[in-house]
Amino acid sequence: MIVVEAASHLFHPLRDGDELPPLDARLAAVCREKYRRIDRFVQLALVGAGECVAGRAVQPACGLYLSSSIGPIGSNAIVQQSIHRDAKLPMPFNFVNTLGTSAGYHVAKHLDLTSEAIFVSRRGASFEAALACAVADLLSGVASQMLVAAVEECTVPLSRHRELLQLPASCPLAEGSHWMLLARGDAPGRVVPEGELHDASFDGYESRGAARLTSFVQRHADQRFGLTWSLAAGAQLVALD
Amino acid sequence: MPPAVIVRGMGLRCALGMDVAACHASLVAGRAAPQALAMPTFTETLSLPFYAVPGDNDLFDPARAVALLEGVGREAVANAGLTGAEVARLPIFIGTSAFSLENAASAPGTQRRHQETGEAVPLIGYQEMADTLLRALGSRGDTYAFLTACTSAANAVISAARMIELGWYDQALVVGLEMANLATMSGFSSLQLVATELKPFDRERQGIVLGEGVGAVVLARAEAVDAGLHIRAGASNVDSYRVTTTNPDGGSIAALQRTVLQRSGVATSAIRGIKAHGTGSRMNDASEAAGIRRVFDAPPPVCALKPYLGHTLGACGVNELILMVKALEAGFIPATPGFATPDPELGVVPTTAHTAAGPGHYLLNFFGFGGHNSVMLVEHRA
Repeated sequence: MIVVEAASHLFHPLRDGDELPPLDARLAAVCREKYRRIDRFVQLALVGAGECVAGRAVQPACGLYLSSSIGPIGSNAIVQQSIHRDAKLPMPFNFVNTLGTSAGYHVAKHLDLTSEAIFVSRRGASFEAALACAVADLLSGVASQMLVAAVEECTVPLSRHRELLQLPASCPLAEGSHWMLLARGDAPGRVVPEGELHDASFDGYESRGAARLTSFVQRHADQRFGLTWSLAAGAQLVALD
Repeated sequence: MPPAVIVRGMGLRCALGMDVAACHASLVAGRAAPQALAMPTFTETLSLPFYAVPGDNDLFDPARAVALLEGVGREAVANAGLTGAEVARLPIFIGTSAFSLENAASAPGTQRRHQETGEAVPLIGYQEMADTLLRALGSRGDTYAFLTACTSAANAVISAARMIELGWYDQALVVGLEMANLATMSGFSSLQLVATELKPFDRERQGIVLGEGVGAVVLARAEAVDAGLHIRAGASNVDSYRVTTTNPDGGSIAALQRTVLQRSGVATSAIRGIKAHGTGSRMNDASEAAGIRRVFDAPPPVCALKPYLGHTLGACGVNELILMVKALEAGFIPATPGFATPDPELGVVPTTAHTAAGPGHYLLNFFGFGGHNSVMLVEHRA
């Protein structure tokens, strides 16, 4: 059994013509310092991590598995544009931000984490892959507390975003940041049926598994939750007694 | 003690050769030389040394990356002697710093189209590498892509080994992939980290030389007494000193080495050699040397392998693991080409010749952007 100590859920469904919602106020509310040269992917990660932790004491040895299906797409697009359209070397900070791992670095720095901060991906199930890695570390005893997250970024205009990722025009797009703070623990409870977790608004979203779990936990803030996990069945949310 | 995890099969394509045996033979012979690349792709021609995989093919031909990836996967699986049923459920762990397998986004032809038509440069995404291998091998196993810069493949090995220890998998295929890529070449040039020659731990070291390489290892559960290379422990940590370098005081590296020693129950005095990350950059080598000195009063032999195959970035965790497996099987710790003059500020002098080495415990260091440090403790059993 893994205990869910906290969770956060940020989700922005987007339609053609939309601008990306500003993150400045939410970022300022959770971050003690202003970061320079961070991209939207890092901002999404910092907001999600900050809102998840929200004043709780996180152990310095807390591990971090940050997942994403497509990663920092905005910085990648800027670098590709610099190389291919402008025939120029990319700016150093743009290049460094193409590494999804930069987001983990900034979250670790913000939360004073000193243990592992690892970026994992599996298209359509990145959070599930990260959760598997995190549970392995918790069960192995190499960590006793773990942040697990899924972050998905969109760029505008969405028509260009679809073109970048070679997605059909009908593909729904959204960005989000979904976080869980997990710890080893044991407590009785009942498995939350799949039907209760289902939310059609996440259909087609790359990290829908993460969105379903974190939004459900956030909607039931008075309830304590845990996770059971197996390789065959994946994660099951448990409402603790 | 948890079940042992050993390296059961290997495949490798890098500047040293087109299979594991050829790479080992080149390493034994001390072959270590990049080629000069000049890319008129940019407003000012980008010139840099580069360790390319042998062959006459266009470096940026997308089909080349696919062929190399499929080739190392098949070589490793055949070398491990896996049955069809084992391959069918084989999980695949990828370690890379690249966004996608195909170099479509890096190919000069793409640049022309982009400039002429405004067509977006496609970004295919991380999953493509694992999907390519699943198709090539006929596997339906789970996939994991690790993207932790130059520690990617090392972290993939550590996680795969952990899941095997837990009994989740009997075997796992771990692949490191890094191909010629304009984004990487131009990005490191922009950071002014590229040197003309790789000189790890040398007083005159100036920076890294990039290389490409694809390596694959099959990890498997084994008996503790089995011969071969055992993954005894591995760990990673994050150092938030700077996004592009670890703290030069060596504190986080030393802490990680101590963690791995403690987890494995191996005494510091039992370490017979260290495969350094050894990039040849001023800061990385200073941080690594400081970390080693904090843990070891008298460090065992230290070698760096990047002068043989270049810095293969996210793939080096698997590529350099394979070179160490073969070197230890052959009874030596490799020499460190490019090193000539000790740096008194480092206090670490790497091997200058192949050095006799026997069964025992070895540390493998890997560090990367994003504050990533990863260390593996391996045991070579005869």
